[in-house]
Amino acid sequence: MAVSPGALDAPPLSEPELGRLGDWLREALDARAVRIERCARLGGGAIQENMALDLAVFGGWREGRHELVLRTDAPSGLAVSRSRAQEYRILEVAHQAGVLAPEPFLLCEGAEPLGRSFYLMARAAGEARAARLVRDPAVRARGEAIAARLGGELARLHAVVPPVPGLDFIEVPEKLPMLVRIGELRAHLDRMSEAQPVLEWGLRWLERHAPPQGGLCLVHGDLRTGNYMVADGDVTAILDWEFAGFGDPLEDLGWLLARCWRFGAVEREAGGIGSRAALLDAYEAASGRALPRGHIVHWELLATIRWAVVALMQAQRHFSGNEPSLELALTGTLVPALEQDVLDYVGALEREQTA
Amino acid sequence: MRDAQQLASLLEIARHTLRQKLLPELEGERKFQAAMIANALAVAARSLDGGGEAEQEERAALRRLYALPEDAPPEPGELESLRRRLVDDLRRGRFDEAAPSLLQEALRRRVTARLSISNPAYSGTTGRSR
Repeated sequence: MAVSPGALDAPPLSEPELGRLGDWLREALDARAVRIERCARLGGGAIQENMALDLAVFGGWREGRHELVLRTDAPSGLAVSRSRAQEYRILEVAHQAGVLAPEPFLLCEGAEPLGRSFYLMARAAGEARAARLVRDPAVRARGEAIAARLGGELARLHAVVPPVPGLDFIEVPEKLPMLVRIGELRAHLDRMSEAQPVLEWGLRWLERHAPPQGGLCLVHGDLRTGNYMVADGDVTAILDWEFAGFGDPLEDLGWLLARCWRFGAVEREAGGIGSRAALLDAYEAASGRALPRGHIVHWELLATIRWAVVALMQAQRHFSGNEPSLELALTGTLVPALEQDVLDYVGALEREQTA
Repeated sequence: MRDAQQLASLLEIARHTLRQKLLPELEGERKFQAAMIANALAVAARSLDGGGEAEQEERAALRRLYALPEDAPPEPGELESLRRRLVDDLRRGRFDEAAPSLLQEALRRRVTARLSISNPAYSGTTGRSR
């Protein structure tokens, strides 16, 4: 297994890269000088690489000290996620809409200076790791407030409806967003070596029972515990926007509520953090409209299947030999529990329909 | 190594040693990695012990669903082609109107058998695991 412990401690950028980055920043910021005071690896996703970057900028339009995140593609990116440039545009739109997205700072689309595109954004304080958050007594004591805050943020985001200037690279779904998702997931499953009868059973059930569209808006696409930052018992930033797109607002709510994203705290239905009611009540208060609550469970089922498909794809990245990684390999072992959830969700939905 | 049982026992003692002797000494990222290794060893040990049975269980349930002889010896690739057949049937809507109890049972058995290897503590709706 090619897990080299040394790789964890290696600086994320080489001296020449840091030099080129400093030069590029000085020019882009129109500054007299830019000093990179710190560059350190941050816990990243499986797809992107994040670094903490502290800058001292002398002169120009961004004079001062800045605590930033530099986000770039990991050596091998998944085609399903958006480019850094697109993600930056989405961040700008979300930030302008008043959502707690990190403030975008600067985008670099060219190959210079790092050989791949990257962007800089404000670095929010706090903790994002889900396992820490759901177990932290101080966070748990504030769980209802955090869930309510997430509901309000989602409502603000979902007020952004197409067409949105600057976001014309995002497709607007022409049929029911749930059916679009089902088609995408089947296409992924078709490229895998093993057939997945339980996931396919869930997809077929959803295809036949898809609820009417709950609206069409900008959705985050991956808002779950682990993808937002908490400091002093409150949310400081919503992170990881690479799956954002136009879709059904209920998709974000279903993703956050799905049983598989509760990190062991199953009784706290909203992300293992707070109650379903706290999330949805706050959402309705902020959006000024009632949610078709009965349809959210369908999206929870879809979320479960989508996470299972992503887990299978991550495992395949290891088992194909292209990207040896213990973490990727182990992700595949999550799938049977997700299959159990699929059976439970379909069972509950069917009981509800016959009741 | 003489048989799967001994191999499973080897993995189990490797995991035990890792957890008892090494994990307490580690912190942060290294602790996380050691915990992942322990988890991988546990899955591998359970798979050596019961992996064959899990596949047998799934294959038997699919044979029942398709009214195939249950006691025939397994053919190479049979399980995967049965899974593929079921997936095609599901997409075509063959089980839309009346999902036979044999289908429900085949899906349930597959999940139970695979969970016994990947995550035996997990019990879905009523469970606490994960």
